[in-house]
Amino acid sequence: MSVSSNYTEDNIRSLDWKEHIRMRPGMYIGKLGDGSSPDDGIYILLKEVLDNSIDEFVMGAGKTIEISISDSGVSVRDYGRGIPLGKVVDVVSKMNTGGKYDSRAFKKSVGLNGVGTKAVNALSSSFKVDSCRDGKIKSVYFEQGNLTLDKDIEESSKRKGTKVTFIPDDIIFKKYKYRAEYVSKMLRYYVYLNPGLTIVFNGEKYISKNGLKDLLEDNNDIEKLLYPIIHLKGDDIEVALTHSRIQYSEEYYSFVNGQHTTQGGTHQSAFREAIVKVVRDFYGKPYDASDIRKSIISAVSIKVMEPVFESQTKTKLGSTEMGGGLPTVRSYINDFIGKYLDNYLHKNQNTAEKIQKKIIQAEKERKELSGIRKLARERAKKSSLHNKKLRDCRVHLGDMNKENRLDSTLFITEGDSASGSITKSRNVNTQAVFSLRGKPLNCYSMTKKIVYENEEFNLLQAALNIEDSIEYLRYNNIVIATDADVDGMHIRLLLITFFLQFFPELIKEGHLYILQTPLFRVRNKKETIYCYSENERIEAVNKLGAKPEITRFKGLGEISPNEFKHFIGESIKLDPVMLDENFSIDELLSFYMGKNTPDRQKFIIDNLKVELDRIDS
Amino acid sequence: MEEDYIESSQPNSENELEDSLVRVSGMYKDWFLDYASYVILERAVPSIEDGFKPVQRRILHSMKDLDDGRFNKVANIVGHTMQYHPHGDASIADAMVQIGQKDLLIETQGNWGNILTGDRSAASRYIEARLSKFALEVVFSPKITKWQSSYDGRRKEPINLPVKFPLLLAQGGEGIAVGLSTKILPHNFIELIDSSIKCLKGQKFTIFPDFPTSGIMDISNYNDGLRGGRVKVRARISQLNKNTLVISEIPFSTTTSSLIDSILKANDNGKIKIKKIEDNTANDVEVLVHLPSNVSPDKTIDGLFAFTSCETSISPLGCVIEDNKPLFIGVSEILKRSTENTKELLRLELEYKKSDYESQWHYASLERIFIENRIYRDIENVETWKGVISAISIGLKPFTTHLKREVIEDDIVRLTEIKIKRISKFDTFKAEEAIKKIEDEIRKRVMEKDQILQSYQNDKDLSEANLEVLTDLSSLSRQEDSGSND
Repeated sequence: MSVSSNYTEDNIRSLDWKEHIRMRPGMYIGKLGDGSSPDDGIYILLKEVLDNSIDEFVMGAGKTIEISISDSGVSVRDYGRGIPLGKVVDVVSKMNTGGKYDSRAFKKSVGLNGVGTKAVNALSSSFKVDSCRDGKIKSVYFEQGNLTLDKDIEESSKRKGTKVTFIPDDIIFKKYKYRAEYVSKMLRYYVYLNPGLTIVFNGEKYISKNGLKDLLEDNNDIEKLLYPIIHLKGDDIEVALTHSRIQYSEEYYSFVNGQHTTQGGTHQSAFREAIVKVVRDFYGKPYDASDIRKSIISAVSIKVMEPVFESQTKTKLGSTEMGGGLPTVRSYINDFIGKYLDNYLHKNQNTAEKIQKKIIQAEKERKELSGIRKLARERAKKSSLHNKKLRDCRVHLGDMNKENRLDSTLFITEGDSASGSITKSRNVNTQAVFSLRGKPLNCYSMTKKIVYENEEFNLLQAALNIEDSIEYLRYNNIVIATDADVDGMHIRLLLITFFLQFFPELIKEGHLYILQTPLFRVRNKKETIYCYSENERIEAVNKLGAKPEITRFKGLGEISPNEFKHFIGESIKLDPVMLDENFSIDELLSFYMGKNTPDRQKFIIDNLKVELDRIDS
Repeated sequence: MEEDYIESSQPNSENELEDSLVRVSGMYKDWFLDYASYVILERAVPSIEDGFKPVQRRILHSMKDLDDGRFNKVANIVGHTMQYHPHGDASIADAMVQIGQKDLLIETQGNWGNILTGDRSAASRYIEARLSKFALEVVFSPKITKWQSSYDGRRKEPINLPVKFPLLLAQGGEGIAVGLSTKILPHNFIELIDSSIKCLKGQKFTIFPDFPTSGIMDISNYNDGLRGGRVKVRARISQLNKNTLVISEIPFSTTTSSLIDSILKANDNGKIKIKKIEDNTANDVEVLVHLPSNVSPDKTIDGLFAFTSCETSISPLGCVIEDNKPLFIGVSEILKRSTENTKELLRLELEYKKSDYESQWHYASLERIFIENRIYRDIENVETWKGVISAISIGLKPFTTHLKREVIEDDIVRLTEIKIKRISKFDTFKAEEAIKKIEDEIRKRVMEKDQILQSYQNDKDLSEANLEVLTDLSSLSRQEDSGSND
């Protein structure tokens, strides 16, 4: 090879800011995706724009933010102070330009490196900013980061504030689509953390009076809470906590400067530690930490100067210092909880009693489980040596320095029919396979004991690393990959039941998905089309014309590894498993997975699905 | 507050995002119904029309496909069945062994297991099967069968088999689906036929279960096999000598092994006291229970009934599929429907046969006219095919007045295909004989309803002819012994 000699000065080039962003979007907004997952890039774009408006609110300017998302793009309008009119172009298109570098208040903001809006600009096919202040308006237009129109400043009677309108570039976000569910969840978090703020999204209002307390109430069935939520607020900290009557695992929502840190970090560890310490001191008993924290449902939000995260996507806090002359994050939280939670327990004897009862019960249950746990631990030892059901991947969710950690995926497959092909065709960097054998147990109404007794469940728990909480979850996406036949449906239900029963926060946090596999393959000698529905099949048949071969896939075993590549590669189709608002999980499970009832029998008989393919002779 | 700021694109925006995601409750609803519907309609519950679950129907259909009068390896039949039944081979083989053990539809060869001891059958590659004469006569009739295409669209399979017998009641059936289950007990073959005839005559009838394992039963709460009914079944226990009891018949749904296990368990728990228990079962059940010398045999018998599966309580629950819906139904209603269905099937068969003979008669008559009157000569000078047809048609005209239907082009085409040899050797007398014979057949088939009933009784005769195969069933004397309990 003699190509190497071509390395001359001509080869060296510096990338323009927008070229760089467009070339390596992952560095700026995490992953790309099409909007089917809540951490897909298009949501980050919205967030980056929104963050600026939120900052205005925090500064005391503009109590309402209006958002609309439609085919024609996304628009975010705030009633803040508006970008200084002379600098509008610079702020959205010059790297490392921003208004947050000196102001003290802005130091407790997340987006302080002055990249956010520029990334949105560069990744949008159309990007427009209107800034309005002092009775004047300035509008600028961009396309893929290139300035296309720079209007002169005009007189205007409009209220002050900024409106950003953009259309994500579909060259980069292929076939993207915003899901209202994800946007609405994101907005809800914003209002929890900013009491007094009203966000109007496509006409619907989001507002929260009680901050984190509202968050816990909205995410949990209030009847399932053991005692009224404890809600404590300090200067740079807010916490809310309670215990669940039925849930086993610990559930945390942690935030830094308004950023949801789904993977916790220093503040969350300090919070967990502080609770244990306070409770031990309060009751004067050395309760086991896991007993104290079992079934806890809590949220913590702190404000830190110049926070440091372990990755660009800001899901895990790395800072140890609060900054601004305050002590470390750890002792700040410890002091706060130590003082206020202790006070609260003294004042609310009733709650204190309930907590103690819960801890004692947890201790009892733990001791009852100890035999089985021992067995489980031996198994765990074995499984940490080698988890025989798991074919692992290289990158995991916890590898904070890996760019593609959010792509880490565990496929849970049914039997041998699929695991072979997925194993062969997967991307070994980010895709792992866990194979089930036959139908898993229906664990509705069982206690957590079963997770230790049942080897398959135990290995699954070990593979996911979620025994106590999902803080150290190893995969961002957990994908149930069963056949598209009725037994596959049944297995999906059994698995979702398992997660709802023992690890509901996995679903609440949007980690669980169902893999869609094609129902038909339509092909002729030249072309092969995979169809996910009857309509697609008809379309494909029309397209290929003259008698194509049509195969109906009954099981994943019929799909060969080289075909499977298409189904789990870039164009993977995932259906997220999402909880309903105002729908009790318990009722759902007891109806479908519990004992048979006359109601259920009637429901089935009234809704039977019949498939017939008669031949008239 | 809501100020009209710059041209806004709000109006159609809401619907845009609406069609989005199925929530978890929707997933449960969809998939649960998919699964439940399938298990109910396609797996666990037998159909009212032929009494088969899909796997059973497909096995029998496959056996008919393969039937050449010789035995086939079960493994081959199972393989063939998989063309219709997209599931595991083991489940098909199990289903087939169960049909075989009922000894009615399948003639078996090799070790098919033992319902008395619970011994399993040999592997499917060893054992062989063919359809019994009874099955061939009663279960199949391709001409009047309705078909559907198989799961991959390559073959056709029957929606229901035209079974002319209350098969479901004879064999019994059991299945656990989602949200419902079914349990139909087996009944006595002869009694079913007798009741069926009574039913045709409009007389009253009652049927009770009868078990291949014999035993004694209390049917006072049978409740016509509907939900809520309860049948108590007891082993037949007698005293061989002062220290030995002998169990010579066992309750339905037990085997000698499971029975002995339950006795040992009761002994361990101190409920009864025995010294030793032996299983001497050969062709007949014989379980010897040896008692310690100080124990009363009578009391032990009571204890066996009270604490072991020597007394078993069975709850029937009649549920079948009718028109793709589950139907909860009693056994006498099942018998009535089966009888009506059989009548209808026989009528269809007769009609089919009649029309078949009629067309035979039509053609035989045409052929005779064609040859006797030398109409074939009319085409000698005709040059076109059209001309040939019309020449024959004209030639036939004067002679066809006595035919039952119009002469159509297909008939004429068939006449042109007659071989010369046949024309040269044509024997008017023989032809007339043949036509007479067909006329006789037609006369035979044109029967009134009571004759259909007659033919139904022929079924009984037929089954009696088959009794050798059915010894086990027919030799079962009525086991009911009401009031023997308590």
